[in-house]
Amino acid sequence: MKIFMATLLIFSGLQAKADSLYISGTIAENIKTKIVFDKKKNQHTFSFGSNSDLSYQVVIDKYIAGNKQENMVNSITVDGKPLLLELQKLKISDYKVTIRSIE
Amino acid sequence: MKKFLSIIALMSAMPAFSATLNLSGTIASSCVLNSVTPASYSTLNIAAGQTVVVGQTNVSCNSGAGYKLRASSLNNGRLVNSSSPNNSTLYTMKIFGAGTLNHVSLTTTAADLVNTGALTAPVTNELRNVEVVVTPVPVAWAGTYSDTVTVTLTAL
Repeated sequence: MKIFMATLLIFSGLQAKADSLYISGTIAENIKTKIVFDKKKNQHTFSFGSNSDLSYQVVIDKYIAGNKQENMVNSITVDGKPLLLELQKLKISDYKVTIRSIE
Repeated sequence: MKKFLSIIALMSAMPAFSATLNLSGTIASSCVLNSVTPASYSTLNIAAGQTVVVGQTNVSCNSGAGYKLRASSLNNGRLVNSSSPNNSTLYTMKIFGAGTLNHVSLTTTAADLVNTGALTAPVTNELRNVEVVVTPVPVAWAGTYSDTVTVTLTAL
């Protein structure tokens, strides 16, 4: 009985309770594209960058007078890399560029 | 008159009896972390870094010896990208108020953030701000960066 009482006293002095706190923050997916026209070469240069680890498919369709000439002139798959660390550059002229993320 | 005097004489000859009655009561020692609120804070600025209050602890304690508030981190003191666990950033935590031990880099093992020492008075529903300092993430990959902190109260 004495041991039992002593045990109770010890536990009454060592009360503890835990609670948890979840902390988080989000960096949004940020896709940047840039098209630069070089007058001398009469060429457009397309640049693409993303901060996501997703992969992207970049599809470039050629248009003449508003009419699509080919379904797919060029298609590349880009593994997501931090912006500015890796840019994909393509020469285009009068093209429509479509970017699709690949889950 | 003779009868009265003889009664007094008889009483003075009787032995006196006394007894002691001890009165006592006990207030049980109680030191409790009532809550940490809110349960989650989800708007940390990961890209730029930030110093921000993310919640409050609520403590009641009637033990004169005081109490400790301790905390441990699921991710060893890092906010980890949920889709790319290799991407993470460090943070520190501080619980304000008497006995604060300033900013602490948390680990998976509980560390002291508050040690009140002896209390001068019991505290009931004592609120303390919980602050984190987020280090800007080195490479700003997209995604949600998170950690779960477990706060524990221990009576001294």
